[in-house]
Amino acid sequence: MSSDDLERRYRRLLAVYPWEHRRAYEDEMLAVLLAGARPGQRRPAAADVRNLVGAGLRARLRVSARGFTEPVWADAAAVTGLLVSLVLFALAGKSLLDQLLRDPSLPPRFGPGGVDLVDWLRVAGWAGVCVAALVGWRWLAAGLAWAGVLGWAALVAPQAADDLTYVVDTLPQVALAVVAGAALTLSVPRHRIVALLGVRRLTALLLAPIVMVVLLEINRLNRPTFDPVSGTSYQVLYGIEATSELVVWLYVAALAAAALAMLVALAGLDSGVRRRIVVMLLPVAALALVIDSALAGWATSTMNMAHVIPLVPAQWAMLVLVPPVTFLVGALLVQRREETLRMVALGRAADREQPAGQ
Amino acid sequence: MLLGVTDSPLREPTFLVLTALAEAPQHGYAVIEDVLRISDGRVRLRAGTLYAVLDRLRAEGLIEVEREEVVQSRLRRYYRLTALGARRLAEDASRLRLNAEAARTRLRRGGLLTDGGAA
Repeated sequence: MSSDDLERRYRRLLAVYPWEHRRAYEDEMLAVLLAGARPGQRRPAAADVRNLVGAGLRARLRVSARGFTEPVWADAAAVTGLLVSLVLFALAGKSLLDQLLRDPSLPPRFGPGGVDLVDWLRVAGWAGVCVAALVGWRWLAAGLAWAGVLGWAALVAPQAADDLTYVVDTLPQVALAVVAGAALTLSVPRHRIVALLGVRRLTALLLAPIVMVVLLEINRLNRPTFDPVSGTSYQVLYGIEATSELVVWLYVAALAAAALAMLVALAGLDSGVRRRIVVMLLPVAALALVIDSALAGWATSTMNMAHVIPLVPAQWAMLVLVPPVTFLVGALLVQRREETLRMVALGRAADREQPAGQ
Repeated sequence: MLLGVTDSPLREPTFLVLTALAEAPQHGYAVIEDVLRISDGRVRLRAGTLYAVLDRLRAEGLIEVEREEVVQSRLRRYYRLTALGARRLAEDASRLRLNAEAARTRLRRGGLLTDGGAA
């Protein structure tokens, strides 16, 4: 009876190993552990528990790390790297155009502060990342993306002492830049991106963000001018302004069509690649959610105070930990799901060879 | 000879497991007992460590499964050294021997070691 107890407890401990390892070695390890047990021993020795848990977790880490070297992760990284760089290029371009083209609806003394070298460098840098990623100069693309992150660390992060809300607001964009840098560092050799997406889907991905920026700029430059004498009737929806509701909805429809074109371009990819693209983008979404929800009260209070309210350690921890934890959980769920699908497929194949009941 | 990345010096448990398998194929528990003997009671491998080493050595092609048998309804798998494993162990043994000789020579020259042991 004691031997059965001990065996059951060792089996429970061995569950810490990944299934590949258990399939190959579990019975054998169990035999070795039981052979080394003292007569009448009912519980695993503490040293064995430590050793098995440590070795099992290391084996799990090894298997997970090996998973990231699979071609499907490299494919997803290549697409995500390009996609995120395009979005950052579009955001940089929009910010530059906002400075360059004056909004005619603003009163004469109000206007943009003027373009500086950093605005131009930002647009040129992300354009460079996109071109390098498309041509297949992976290291140049990754290097430029990481230079963007370093640029933020050098120019924006030091402002935290005076304007912490601004620095926190820029974090989702920095997170996107980190995703771009990491994805392009891990992505695949040259010309793979064209082979992966095909010319039509690639064109849709390239054009959609540009079309969206152009639409937003057209809308901004055609805002109804405020007339203090006769008054002006206009509609506003999330920053899109027009004199009639119909025109607002036309803008929304055009923007939605461009976004849909991007989604359709990605929908044609292999399901494994699609899942991993979502996993790589989720940390940015999670970070944006934390800033918009958990830190919303802090941002409002800071804006209403004359001085900066510092973030408490728990808030810093959230900002730092939420993105990597979201990524790891996502990667683990993808791995689990694919393992389950593989098992189901194996089970089906076995059933076909030997139908149940025979 | 410069060591390549894959030819980095073997760690002690790995070296001892290869040594235990050098003479004849052995199963897991026998390897643990043999390593204890070879190391003069100094290295007691635990199951988790042993199977991490065996798994890595199999993946690197330094050992292979010779046969499997079931003894008292328990699986017993015998491992043996491959030709590559034998070469790797021989290389590491001579590296260790050269290092040990160099250390002893220098200690003797420095008057810190006599034939009987440390001065």
